[in-house]
Formats: sequence, structure tokens, C-alpha cells
Amino acid sequence: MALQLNTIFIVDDDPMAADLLKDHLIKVSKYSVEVFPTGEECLERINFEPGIVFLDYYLDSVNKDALDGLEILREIKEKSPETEVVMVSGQDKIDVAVNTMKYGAFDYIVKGESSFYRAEKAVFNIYRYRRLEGNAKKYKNMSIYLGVAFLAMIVIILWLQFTGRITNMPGLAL
Amino acid sequence: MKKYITMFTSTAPGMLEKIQTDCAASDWKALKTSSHSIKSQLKYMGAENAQNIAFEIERLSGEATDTSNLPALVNQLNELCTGVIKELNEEVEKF
Repeated sequence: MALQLNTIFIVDDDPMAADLLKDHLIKVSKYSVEVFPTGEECLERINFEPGIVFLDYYLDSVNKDALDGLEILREIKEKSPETEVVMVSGQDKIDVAVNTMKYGAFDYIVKGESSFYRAEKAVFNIYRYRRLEGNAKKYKNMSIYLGVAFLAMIVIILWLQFTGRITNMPGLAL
Repeated sequence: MKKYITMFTSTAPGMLEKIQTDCAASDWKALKTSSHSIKSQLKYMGAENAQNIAFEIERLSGEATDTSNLPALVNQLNELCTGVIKELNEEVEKF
């Protein structure tokens, strides 16, 4: 399935936190937002390939045996590598944030007053990054095609000169 | 806003009860989790004092080395949250 760019998943076992973020994202954008109380439920739908997942770090407040955010992050990156994951946590610790980035998180947001604004910025940054990535790929392909075309042109000119079909090419005398 | 206040006032009593149960059972791991949960919600409700106490409970129960203050902190949290819930219920009635 192709990446669903306009779909966002929120995974949080705190229903208030999940609803607050969902309502904010819907208010500021046209995204379709789905909420999951556990990582396991999100993984059941991950083949839908959402564009972004906002993933809570701790997911065991309701079900003690639920997989935690880092484990779910690893599973998401394995099953849907193009989906960007933004970790969300009440912990304001740099080592935790860095650890989540090592496992493939795009960003790390600390829950609080500014978290909705930061979530909005994360969405903006992800789409801007994707647009830049797309442009870079396009320009790379274009330069490859131009390079091949240029090389083909040189080869043809040399062959024409070699076979005597063209003469008097300054700078290309053999 | 009314939706979130109602959400908090309906779930907070149960969360407080869980915190008290975990503390009474000296289940520090469970207490860390339950205090972490209520901490986020207190943050959204702007209850800074209660949030700070929840954070302290989370920290101490996570470290599990100096747990002697935890029962007092849990009682303090319970008192503060009861006041917060009462105030919020009064506010909701005005909507």
C-alpha cells in the first residue's frame, strides 16, 4: 500500500492527551487522525501506512503488559519504514530523546503547554522534509538522464568522426 | 474545554484511588506508573502544585530508595486533587 500522507495515527494510553492532540491537529489541518490506546492496536493497522505516528513513550498505565513506546517504534519502522514517528513523553530528558532518535524517531516532544504547537511544527517539518527529499530525488534522476544523454552524444560524435561521416570537428581530431 | 474538564473529573478519582492502593501495597513500580498518568492530566488542567507532587511521587517510587515520604506525599496529592476536582466541577456548571 502507498504511504497515506494525510493520515496521522496517535498512540497514547491517556485518553485526554490523545483527544487533546487529535482535536488540535484536526483544527489546524486537513489531516485524518486516528487514535489508538495501545501500540499493539496501532500495529494491527500499520499496513495502512500512515504518514505520521505520534507515539507515547509509556503505554502501560492501563495494561501492564503492553509493549512500550520504544518497542512499538522499532516495529513501526520495520513494518512501515516510510512512516515518520514522533515520540511524545512527559520526560524532559535528553538521553531519552536521543535514544528514540537512534531507533528512528523523527522528533521527540515533551508533554506540556507547548506540546500542541510543537506537534504542529513536527508535522510541518516532516512534510517539508518529504518535499525536499522528493525534489532531491527528481534532480538526481534528471542529472543522471542528462549525463547519460551527454555521454551518448559524445559517443555518437566520435563514432561519426571515426567512420568519416563527419570531418573538420575542431578539437576532436583523432 | 468542558469536554476535557469532564474527562478529568470523571477519571481522576479512580486514578487517585489507584495511587493510594499502590502506595498502601508498597508496589513502587505500579505507583510510578499511576502517578505518571495523573501527572500529565494535572498539567493539562493547570494544577501546578498537584502536578509537582505527582512528579515527586513518580520520581521517588521510580528510584525506590527513599520511600518513607511517599505516604505523606500521596495524602497531600489526594487533598490537592480533591480541591481541584471540586473547583473544576463548579466551573463546568457555569458552561
